[in-house]
Amino acid sequence: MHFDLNEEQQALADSIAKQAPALFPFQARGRRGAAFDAAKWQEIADLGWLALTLPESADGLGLGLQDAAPIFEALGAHLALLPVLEHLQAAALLSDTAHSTLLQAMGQGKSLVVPALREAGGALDALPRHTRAVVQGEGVMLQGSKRAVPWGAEAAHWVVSAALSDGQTSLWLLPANAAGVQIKTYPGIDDKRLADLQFDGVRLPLAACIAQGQAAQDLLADAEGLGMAATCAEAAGAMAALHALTLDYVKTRKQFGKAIGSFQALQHRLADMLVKVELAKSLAAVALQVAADRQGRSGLLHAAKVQASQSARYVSEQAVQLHGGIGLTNECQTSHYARRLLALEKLHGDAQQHLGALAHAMV
Amino acid sequence: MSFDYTPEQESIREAVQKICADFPESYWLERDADGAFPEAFYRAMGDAGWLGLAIPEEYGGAGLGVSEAAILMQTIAESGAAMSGCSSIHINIFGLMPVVVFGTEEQKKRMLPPMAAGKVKTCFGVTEPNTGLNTTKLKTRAVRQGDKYVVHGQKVWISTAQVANKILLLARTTPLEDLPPGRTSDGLSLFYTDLDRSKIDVRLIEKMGRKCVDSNELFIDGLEIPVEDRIGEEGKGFKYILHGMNPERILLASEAVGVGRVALAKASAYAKERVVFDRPIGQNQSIQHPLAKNWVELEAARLMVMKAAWLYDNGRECGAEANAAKYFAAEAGFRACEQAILTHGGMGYSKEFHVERYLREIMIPRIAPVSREMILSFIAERVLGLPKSY
Repeated sequence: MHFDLNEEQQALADSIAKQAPALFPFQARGRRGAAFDAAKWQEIADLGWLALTLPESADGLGLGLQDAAPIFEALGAHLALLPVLEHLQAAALLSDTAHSTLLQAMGQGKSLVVPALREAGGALDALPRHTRAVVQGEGVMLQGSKRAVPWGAEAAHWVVSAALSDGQTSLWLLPANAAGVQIKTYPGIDDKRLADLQFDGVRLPLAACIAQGQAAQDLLADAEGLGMAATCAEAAGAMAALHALTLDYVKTRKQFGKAIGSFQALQHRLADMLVKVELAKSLAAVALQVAADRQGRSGLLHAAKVQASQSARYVSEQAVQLHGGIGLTNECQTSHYARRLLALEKLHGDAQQHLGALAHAMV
Repeated sequence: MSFDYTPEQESIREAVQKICADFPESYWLERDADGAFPEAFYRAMGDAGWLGLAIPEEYGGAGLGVSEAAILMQTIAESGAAMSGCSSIHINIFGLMPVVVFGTEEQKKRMLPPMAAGKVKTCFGVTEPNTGLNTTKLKTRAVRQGDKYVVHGQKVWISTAQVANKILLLARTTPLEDLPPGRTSDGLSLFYTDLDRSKIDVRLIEKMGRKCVDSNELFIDGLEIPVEDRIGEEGKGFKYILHGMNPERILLASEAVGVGRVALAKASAYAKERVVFDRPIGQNQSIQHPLAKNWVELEAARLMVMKAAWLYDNGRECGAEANAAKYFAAEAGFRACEQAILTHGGMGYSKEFHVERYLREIMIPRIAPVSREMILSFIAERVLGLPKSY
């Protein structure tokens, strides 16, 4: 067992850590949802972030998800709102060679593809239940709806999951300009752009089918695993930054003539927070490592998401408490981290859901 | 709303404190080592009349309520007697309520005065192996033969059966399968009778704490019970014992508060005296704050206990409150005991400082007479109206 980064990983982590503060300066945004920053997207594509884990056949570097850890951590640490995770999930769903041209464009930041999987009800397995694909001659007709699709209104294509008439799962590549799609957008609690998609008789050629049956379910599980692991890593980055911010605050904020950080009760609280951050970081690292392993990943991914969720909640609540009233304001980054961490806690299943899944697997 | 104890309640507290002062923590430390029943304490409580606190005056008791009993038990626990002291007399206080409420005049005259005076000891024979808290599934059989019942079966976790002369026994008089549908809580009958050791094999269960108040497995083989020892009607025993359950929970809760308070007092005293880095450790916020938190919790628990007791004494429904008080008091007591050990550091682990004994004993009200989990299920179902989960 070793916990060090190798030379390449370290170099990448260092360069991302150097670039990130300038890339994502903090702005005390309102809560109306940030517009998609296309220029920033292009900038990180040019830095190679989007192609890092893409296959070499699509001009990617073919690296593993664990090598992308510094990217997720930086997005969390700097409160960056960009669809990197969704891009990588879509890439995983499109991983067979038939889509290498599209993958290539995605890696270059020229085409944004996001998965549209979630439905009302929010089951952990993300299998389609309300969206149906009915085969009609040479084509297929999509009927149903998807909920809270991150960056759904900004994407050029969606990867849509749908149930076939025989109950099998299927995956479809759907252009965002297809007729019969209604889009409703709104911001998430973390300001991320979300969209509900309504499909009314949307027609697609059979060739738009990415996979069906077991193959589709396997791909969905891969995307879900990737989502869980990346969410854990992003949360770890955000909570580490929030911890640092809070530590800084208690050192400077004075009460009773001395820095509040000189009080033992607060010192110990910060120590407890650090322990939670480190636990989340370690499990996030494991999660990224195992996310692609269809046989071995399940328990560790659940465990990582449980820890990430519990750590996120603890660190956020303590950070706000230690800041006092100022921690609730929009001017103070603390409130933004707290909202971001709450969103990450819920995304891809919260602690309760994953504890339930773990318990179910055990007994 | 008054939060004061009445003058009578105050005087109970003072009088009990005075008796308990004769049984210092060294007494309980010795009992924890030798496991001998605290006979002298039991006798002192009996002589002073406390064992009959809740038994009506005409049968030799004081006719007081659960509120007074709760104060009695908290005071005993808080003296350092902890669960060892409380459990040694617990059954005397409310155990025979079914006799008070459902017994005949002859039974009350025969059964209650010796208990109130502490002349006999009894034990409560309800729980069975494999039945747990599913009381209506009890298997111990009592078969009527003429003017007596003959009993066969097993009981487990029966406190004080090593020293008891009597047993309050719940046994099945009608097999479960012979009961009409929807009446499955019938068919159990309640007896208060001699604990005949020629027919009941009492086997001690070695356990974590409260060594001087024994817990046992009972193997009952042909115990004969005269019909006149049956309390109330045949088949209604489950209903009768339900009558004592809320008071029992309230008392356990009060005992837990008392244990928590003595642990907290020990910890605070130690934190004031013990000097490290040239100042008392109690000057550190990390020592102060957890103890302050324990005080808050114990105070909240005490109020919950007194509210539940007040409801009961005023003839009001108190199931949710009695259960909630038991749940919260046991948890608060446990946290105080744990913190007391942590405050003492290594010394907390030594028997000489007493707090480790409290921690071993406070596990009892966390588990008995009903588990935390069952209480949460009860509150979810009966208070919040959520569907039954088991």
